[in-house]
Amino acid sequence: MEGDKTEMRKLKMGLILVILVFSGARISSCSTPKVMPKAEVVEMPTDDLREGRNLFNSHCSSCHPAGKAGLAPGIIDKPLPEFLIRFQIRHGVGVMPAFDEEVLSDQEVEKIAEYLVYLRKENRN
Amino acid sequence: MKRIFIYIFPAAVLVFSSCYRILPSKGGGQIAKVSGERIVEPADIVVPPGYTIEVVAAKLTFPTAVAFDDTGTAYVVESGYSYGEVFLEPRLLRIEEDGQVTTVFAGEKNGPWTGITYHDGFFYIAEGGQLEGGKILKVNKEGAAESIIENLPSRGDHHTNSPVVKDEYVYFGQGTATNSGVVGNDNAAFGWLYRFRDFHDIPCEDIRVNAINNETENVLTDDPNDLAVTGPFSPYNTKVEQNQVIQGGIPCNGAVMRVPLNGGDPELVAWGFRNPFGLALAANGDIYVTDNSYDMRGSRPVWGTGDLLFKLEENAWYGWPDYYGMLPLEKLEFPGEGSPKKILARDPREPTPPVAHLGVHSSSNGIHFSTNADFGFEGQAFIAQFGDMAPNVGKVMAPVGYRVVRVATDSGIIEDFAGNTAKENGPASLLKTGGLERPIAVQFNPEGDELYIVDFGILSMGEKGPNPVKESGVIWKVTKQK
Repeated sequence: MEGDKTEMRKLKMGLILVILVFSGARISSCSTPKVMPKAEVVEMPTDDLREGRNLFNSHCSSCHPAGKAGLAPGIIDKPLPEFLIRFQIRHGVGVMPAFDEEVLSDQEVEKIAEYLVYLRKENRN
Repeated sequence: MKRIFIYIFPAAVLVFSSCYRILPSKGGGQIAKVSGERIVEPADIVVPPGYTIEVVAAKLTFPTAVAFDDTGTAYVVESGYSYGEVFLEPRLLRIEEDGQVTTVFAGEKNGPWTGITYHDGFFYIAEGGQLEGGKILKVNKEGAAESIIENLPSRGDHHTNSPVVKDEYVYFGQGTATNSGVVGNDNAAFGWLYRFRDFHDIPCEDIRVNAINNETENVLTDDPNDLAVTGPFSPYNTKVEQNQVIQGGIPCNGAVMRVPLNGGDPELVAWGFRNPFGLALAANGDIYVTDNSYDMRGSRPVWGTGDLLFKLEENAWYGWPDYYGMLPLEKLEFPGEGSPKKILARDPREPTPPVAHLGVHSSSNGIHFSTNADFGFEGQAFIAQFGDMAPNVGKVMAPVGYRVVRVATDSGIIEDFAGNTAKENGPASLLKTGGLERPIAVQFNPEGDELYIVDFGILSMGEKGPNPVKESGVIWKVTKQK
């Protein structure tokens, strides 16, 4: 019985923590980070990232220009793990359309998510 | 630990779903009041390391394009019209070395002048034709002018645009009358529906349409209960039948056409564009076109379509009013509100894939190619992004555009080139800085080592529509430090 209460407390704390983290993310998701324009053509360090960037530009950047807010919220200003990015692309939570397997394969979704995480790190530097 | 993910997913749902529906539109032009004179401060603009930006001319009224004559002297056109129903005299101005301007030629109140090019002793100016129809003007350096074509179908939402010269022809864009093919009450808000009650889009060839008839309040009568029922490619309050043939013809809307340098009948190059604002010649002779995509307005609103960059292919069709690039609009649903119904009973041909996808409502307009390796980015397209006109064109989460981007046409990769230094995006009037307001065109000098940015000036979006500010336009120049 005591063990159940402890477990419940842990869950409540976890829930509060998650809500706080994502509330902060939600607030920041509606702002735009500033990025210095590059003086040269930017090459991606790997083939996967190169393909991820191409796919992102074809399917995502209209609403999230350069990963930032525009029609839709910014992506690269949130601490979202790759699996949540993949989930969002596949299931299109909110007003964002879902991209099914006919449009993007699992591998392509992974490459977009990997590129976004890379872009986030680059913008932080 | 696994249980924590039970909460992560609902929280993620909250994150992703809440912003767009809950928050109000945050367009860059949504400024309650623009105060005072425009401040101009190059230090408030960020360009890549090694480049500098300076002011060439300021206090212009609605400048839209720059061209250079054969001596390298720069000229600018002032539009003579702005959304918000401001009609002025359009002007061709020579920019003197001290930044002062001299009028070379003043036109009639039939703007907007949207573009200019110089070829073999003459300027070719696209006259938007909001009142009398579009024209291409041919003007010499002494200011003698003639029309080489006129009566283009340009009295609607979009105009006659951006001339370029190739193979002894002037190529130009002709925008559509409407957002997505149906005249509606959004066109009354623009102003033109009250002036030209029968004006509508003209297809470039005969088409068969579906019976997509839209019922609205009839704004052309005084009776508040009167309804207008309007079909596609038809005058306001005119229905269409299923499979009805709409007669096409040239000149037409949503097209790139061409006319010989000395005038003559227009020839169709390609159609199915929405507003082909910017045309530019690449070094290999290909023409590229920036196309302003659909808005979330009117009787057939379309959500979530970004501006597109196309390579111009002769006899091609680019998808308007039923596609966004290669994507049928029927598959482009705004959740909970359905998707636009297909207008064309049969497509003229397969739509043509875009080269690049630009920001939704970014108003990606003037385009020019870098041809000088010393400047950098040789072969890339530079595009001026005027910036969103939200909320009139639809809601945005943050200002879109207000910058110059560069595009690798082989990959479609878009990178920023010049924008404002503030952490948030937006026009200088929103950010309260002296940076870029609304870039509308870019033009390299003949040597290709200086990039001129034409900044239209302040245009805020009020409750009653756009509020353009006279004498707030600027010409900027970017050079690379040696």
